[in-house]
Amino acid sequence: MNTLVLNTLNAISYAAILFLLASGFSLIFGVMGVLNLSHGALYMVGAYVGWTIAVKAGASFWLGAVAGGACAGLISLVMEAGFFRRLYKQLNEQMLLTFGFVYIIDNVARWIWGSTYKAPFTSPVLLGSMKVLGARYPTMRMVIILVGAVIAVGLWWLQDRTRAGAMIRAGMDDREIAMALGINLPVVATVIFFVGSFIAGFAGVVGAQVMGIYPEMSMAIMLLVLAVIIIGGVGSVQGTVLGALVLGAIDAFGKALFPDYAMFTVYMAMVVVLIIKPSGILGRQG
Amino acid sequence: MAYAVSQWKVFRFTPQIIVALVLVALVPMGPTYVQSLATKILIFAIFAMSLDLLMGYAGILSLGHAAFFGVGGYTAGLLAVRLGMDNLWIGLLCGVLLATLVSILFGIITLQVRGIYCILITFALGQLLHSLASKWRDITGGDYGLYGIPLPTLGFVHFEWSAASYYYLVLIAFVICFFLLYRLVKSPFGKTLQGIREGESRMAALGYNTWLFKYVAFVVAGMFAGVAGVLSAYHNGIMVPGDLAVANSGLAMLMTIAGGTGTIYGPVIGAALIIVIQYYASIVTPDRWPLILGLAFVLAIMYSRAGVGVYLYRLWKRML
Amino acid sequence: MKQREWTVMLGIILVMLSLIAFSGAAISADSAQGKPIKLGVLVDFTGPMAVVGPPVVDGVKLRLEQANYRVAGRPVELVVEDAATDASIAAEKAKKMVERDGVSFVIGPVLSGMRMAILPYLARQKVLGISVHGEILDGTKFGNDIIYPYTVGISSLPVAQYASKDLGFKTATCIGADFDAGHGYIETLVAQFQSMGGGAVQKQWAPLGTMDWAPYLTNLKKADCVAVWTIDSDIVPFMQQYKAFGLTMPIVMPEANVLVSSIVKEKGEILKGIVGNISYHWGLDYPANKKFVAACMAKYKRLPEHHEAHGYAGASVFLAALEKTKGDTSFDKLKKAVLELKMDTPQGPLFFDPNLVGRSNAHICDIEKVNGEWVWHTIKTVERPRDPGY
Repeated sequence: MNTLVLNTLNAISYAAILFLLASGFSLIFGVMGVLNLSHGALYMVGAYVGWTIAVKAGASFWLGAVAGGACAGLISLVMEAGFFRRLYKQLNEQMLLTFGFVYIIDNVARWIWGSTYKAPFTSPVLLGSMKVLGARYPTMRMVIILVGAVIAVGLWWLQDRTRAGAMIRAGMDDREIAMALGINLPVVATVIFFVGSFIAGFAGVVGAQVMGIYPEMSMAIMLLVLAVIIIGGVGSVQGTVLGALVLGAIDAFGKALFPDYAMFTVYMAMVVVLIIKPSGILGRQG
Repeated sequence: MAYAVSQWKVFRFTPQIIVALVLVALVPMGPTYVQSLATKILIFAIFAMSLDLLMGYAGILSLGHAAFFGVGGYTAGLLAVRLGMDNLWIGLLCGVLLATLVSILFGIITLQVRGIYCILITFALGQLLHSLASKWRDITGGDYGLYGIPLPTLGFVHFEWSAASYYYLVLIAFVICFFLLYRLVKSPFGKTLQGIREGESRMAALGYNTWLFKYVAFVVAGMFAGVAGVLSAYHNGIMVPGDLAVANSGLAMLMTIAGGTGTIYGPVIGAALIIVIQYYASIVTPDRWPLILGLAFVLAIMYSRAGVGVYLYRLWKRML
Repeated sequence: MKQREWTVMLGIILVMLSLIAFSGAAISADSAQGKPIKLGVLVDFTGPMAVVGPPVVDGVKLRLEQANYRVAGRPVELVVEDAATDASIAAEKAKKMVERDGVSFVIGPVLSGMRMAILPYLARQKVLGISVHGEILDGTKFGNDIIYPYTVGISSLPVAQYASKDLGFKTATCIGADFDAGHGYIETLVAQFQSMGGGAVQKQWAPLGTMDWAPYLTNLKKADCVAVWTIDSDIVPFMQQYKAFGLTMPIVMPEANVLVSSIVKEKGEILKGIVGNISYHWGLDYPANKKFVAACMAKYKRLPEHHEAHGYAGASVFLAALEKTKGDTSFDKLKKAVLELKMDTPQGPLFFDPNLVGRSNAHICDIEKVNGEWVWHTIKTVERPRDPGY
């Protein structure tokens, strides 16, 4: 029973991190049609900024998280204004461009922060473990679950329950008509890009509690993000949550049941989902 | 005016002659590392051209094309290292055959969807093979790679390879592949593909079996990628799981897009540019060269949207 | 308009031609007096192993500087290239180094797979190569691979013996990184345990880049100790989560160099409890090391890690061999000289066995607080361990 509880908590906490990673990307792609392959790099930059504030300067962890998000958001604004505005739905060009950004951001990050691994860091308050359903579980991971849940609920509420959300969904479905209806899509798009990238940078710091920071992260994170949206589908918060949970479960239980084949099961799962329902379990068609 | 035109006429073939001269005569006269670099460029040119058939003509975006490259290379490598069969013809035949089989399978899976989902499926399939290559330590040598692949024998004649002679081999292979792919895309088949890329429903309404056309393109692209993989295995003497990974697929995609999709010659130029920039930039600055490469990509996209290769080609045409 | 396009076109063609021409004629190996001897360093400045490159070069430069960039009356030139953690790029650079720059000795590449790709070429060109990072025995078959500082077996065995004999551990539950080195380290340890009548109760393999160890920790079986091996970015979260889960079995690492002193200093609290084999840490008690650490502090204002130390040693082997051959860079003489070397390195005394496998000291260490700082602390020095696979 203990093991079941622990494995389930593992699945959920890992899923929370994955959700944070993927929700920003899904939001941006769903609304703006922009495939930002440098999303993982933004995550990494957020983590580094958070590290500088929380570890190097010794300030508050959560301040670092917000700063990380803000930094990532700012970079995304530059990307959006300077480049993405002109490349709506041109996947080829976006891929080349965002690959270029990854090379640049990665190398500049190495330049500033060096190549050595930055060990996981967290707020001193969160060290230690707490009792959950009879098992001892690290406090920091429970907080990660909480943060993930709060943001998921927040985004869902935004998407389904607000006017802004309705505008976004309209823009996702049909850009021209949305604009014809007077919805100021360029502004909405910019805001979405910022929000999505902010979440990425914020997630970078939250995730750094478990993963630490290392320069090769950008691509590794990107692959995880792709896995989540393959399984869950693009364009809806529910889809991203589902994809993250499925991946988290596969990871936690896969490692418990088939320890030798961890990565393999993840990729197999992706392929299986793609064959059965190519747009992802909760994906919007086309 | 007529007088001026005939004066320029003699220059019409000069760029082609110069390029041919460089490729055939000058490169082999230099030191062997130049041939080695040129060989690498030609191998990636074949790889990128095959991807262009897929992306630029059939309109299928793929982040997993390296899977066929890797299968071709590993097959040739395994035959040579584990079974002692280092005959070039057998290596090529088996490598391409296996790559084709894999693309036959993957094509069926991939063509269930379109657009970004193609990217996702091909990515997943490619990564699947990558993790397989990494895990099957006993067969593939795992993460250390399958090393010790010798340069192939020609079978009927005893031949001592040099960097220059292997370069010639790859050059011949490249010319053949280029010629075949070029004829393919200029043929009715190729034109149909382009029609499908532009508007699939329209073509379907006209009675074309669009799925079949795309599928054939997928398989053919996989075949040629396999050729590149085999040549690469012999050239490097090693195959690593990374050769199957999304990074390698991504690199080919960058070469294709940067050079200009839908042109067949574009990816060749893209391959040459990226490899050359990477090589020389890394000599000048061993730790900052990715920054230079990234800037090159960004500039390429912002200033020559159709691709640098296309830009150069138009430049050339305008001068004649 | 036509004029400008012509110029552009011609410019491009000229650039192509000059790149090939400028690449230069091949420089043949020359042992004429006064001509510079070139040392090539082919390590990673970009890619996953990028953390290794710069410090290795620093170590090499430190040594060369101490020799005033001269050996046996000839000047020494350093050629540094990026291997980019990519076998084909490394191969291109190796060819450039040998053919254009004329190096007689290559330090690197550090990854075994990449070495296997390049050593055959270097052997054909009659150039010696040394690795300055953990290696595998397969390199011995090429005849030009100087294996230093250790192989997987050379590193694992002393720790396994210490754990099973000195500490009396019979059983181990193993967690290893799921690639060749990981399997190698763990299996060597398990073999040792088995030879003492014990063994592994469990083996779990985690992919590289595992940041979330919860699944593995949840399923950990009880044993005398936990044998763990993976890379630094994975070990620190591992230890953090291990302690957060309240687990208390002793931790044994067949090779612990991945945890460099700076990480130990920062995370000593979390890492305490690890016992592992360290080929080099700055606290090692050899006279050669004391001098090396002082020199490193003076020049770079930082304490050396194993990368700098092994780079330093690699360059030392290069210089010492050339002193022996009196500046003769021909392959057979150099190789013979290397085989005859008996040196003191910051890692301890070093010599090479007939297969060019380096034999130096292993240090079983744990993590302690010394003078208020967390450092590696040597418990036991094992002299010249050999690879059990021999």
